[in-house]
Amino acid sequence: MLRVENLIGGYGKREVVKNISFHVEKGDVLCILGPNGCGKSTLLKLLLRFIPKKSGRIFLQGQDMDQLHRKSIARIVSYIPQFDSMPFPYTVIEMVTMGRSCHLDRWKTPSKKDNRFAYESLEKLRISHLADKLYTQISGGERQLVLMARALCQDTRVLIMDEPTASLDFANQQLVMDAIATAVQEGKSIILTTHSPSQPFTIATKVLLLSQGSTVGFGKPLEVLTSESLERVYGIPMDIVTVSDRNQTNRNICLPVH
Amino acid sequence: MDGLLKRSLIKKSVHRFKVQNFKSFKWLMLILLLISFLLIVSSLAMGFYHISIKELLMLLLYGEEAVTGENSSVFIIIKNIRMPRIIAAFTIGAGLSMAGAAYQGMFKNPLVSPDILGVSNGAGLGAALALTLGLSNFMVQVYAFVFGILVVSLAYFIGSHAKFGHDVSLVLAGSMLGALSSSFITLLKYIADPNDTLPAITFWLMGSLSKVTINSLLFSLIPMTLGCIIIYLLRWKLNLLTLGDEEAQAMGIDPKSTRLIAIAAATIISASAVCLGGLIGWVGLMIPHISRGIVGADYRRVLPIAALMGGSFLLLMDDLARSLSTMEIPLGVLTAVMGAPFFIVLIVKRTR
Repeated sequence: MLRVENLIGGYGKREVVKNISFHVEKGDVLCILGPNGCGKSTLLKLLLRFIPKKSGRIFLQGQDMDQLHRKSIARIVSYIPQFDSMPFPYTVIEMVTMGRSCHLDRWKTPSKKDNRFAYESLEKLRISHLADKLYTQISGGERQLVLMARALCQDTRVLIMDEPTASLDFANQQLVMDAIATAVQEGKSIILTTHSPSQPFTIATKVLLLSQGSTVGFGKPLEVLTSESLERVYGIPMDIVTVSDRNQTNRNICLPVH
Repeated sequence: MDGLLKRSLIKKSVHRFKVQNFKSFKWLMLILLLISFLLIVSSLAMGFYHISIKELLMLLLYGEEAVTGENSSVFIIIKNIRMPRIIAAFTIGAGLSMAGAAYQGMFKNPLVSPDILGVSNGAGLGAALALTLGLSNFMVQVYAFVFGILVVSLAYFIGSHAKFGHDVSLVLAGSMLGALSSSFITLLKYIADPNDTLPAITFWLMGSLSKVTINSLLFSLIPMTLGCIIIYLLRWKLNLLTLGDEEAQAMGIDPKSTRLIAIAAATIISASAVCLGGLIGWVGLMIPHISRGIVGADYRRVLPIAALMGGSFLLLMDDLARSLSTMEIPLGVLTAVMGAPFFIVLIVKRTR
């Protein structure tokens, strides 16, 4: 679905992302984990071609991304930014319909079919009731879900999310997690960055652990995230503990050791 | 079963929302068209030379032959003086509103006016220069147009070579060049002949449609219409530009080229508006705002509404300018008198 080989990139002469390789298949959820300034955001920008890469190759569905037009990329990869303030009072349904843009011909505006598609995307995430509300007047958690619905409306195989659970409360984080699970059920592949080392255990099929722009580990969460690797990356002693919830399901959590 | 029920419910709400929305928008458009039409017709009857509604209707229905003999001057007044002026007022209002709406979206700021990149001051400098050189009215117009475009092009050139934020440096360069132009205007005013040139420059800068002729109208009308068409064609992409460059890119739009086209179109509109009627402020800031308040942020609806409202508003203002007192009130002053209080209300309301 998406394969990255020896990717190097950064700003000006500075290399922020150094020689990173990984791949994501259908139904995968890849968590990119690492401390502040490890190059997570830069990696996402390179994947979305917001900034040019220095070397390395990115393949989308087997095609070299350099050969693809921006519109073609947008039909394969969508981007879900962190929710932000919006100066103009768009309704939620207008926001979501914007996801159809890469499927429109030049000078064309969305049709009734596109509009219906947008409603279906809202329905998939169970937020149809927001459709006519103003995007500027809903809560942060709802905005994040709306941005996810927009990506579903864009109808891409790969969804790239920039810290989707940052600055959300506990319940809203869970709603976003559920939305991610819904997207995976639809057969999407998801790449997301996170600050929480426990998060990959609950949703990810793969983890890319970064430190100062280089790969520390890539693979299944339990294989990559060990107390040794986390300690190396974050510089503090960490333990992976297994706890069981009331349903007797075992769950892994990262804890700093005092 | 549950899913099915839900789906049918949602389908119903989809249907209702769309029809309601579309219907009310269509009605709004119809009402605004009617208002615009009535305003245009009644403006034709308005003025020093009394033309009765009956004469006007005859003229509109049957053409020149309807008003022969002692009334033949009616036709000349309508054709050479009132018609060009009314068309100019309406198109300038509509054009500035569309350009303002476009600029606001491009710079993600609802408080931006069409002269954000210095087009008005640039055009003002061109006009002041032509007036100082004692050139003809036509050349004043040409100079204004060329200088307006020149200043924005220069701002764009500087902005696109800046090492930091493209938008910010573009706006900075624009206001810098605008300030530079306005200081040159001051210089020209200082050295201008106080008996004829200085009043001419001052009057021109205040904004007025009293000197509009068929020729000057035609010179501006074509580029202005072209600019409006281009902006209307960009209406969906303007929506995406308001999200910021990265999101627009991720949705398959090239923000840089889209913005360049929109800036070019909006600049052509503003420059032709300025060279036809001088500096007329506030319309391009105020009208898009009111339009958004009525139909929401979607440019597919904002642009046509803003065009009709802006056209009607400026026509009304111009009617007031030429009928409130025996002396013509500068149009730019009138729009400012209307606009400034509006802006204050806006600031107070925005903090709610």
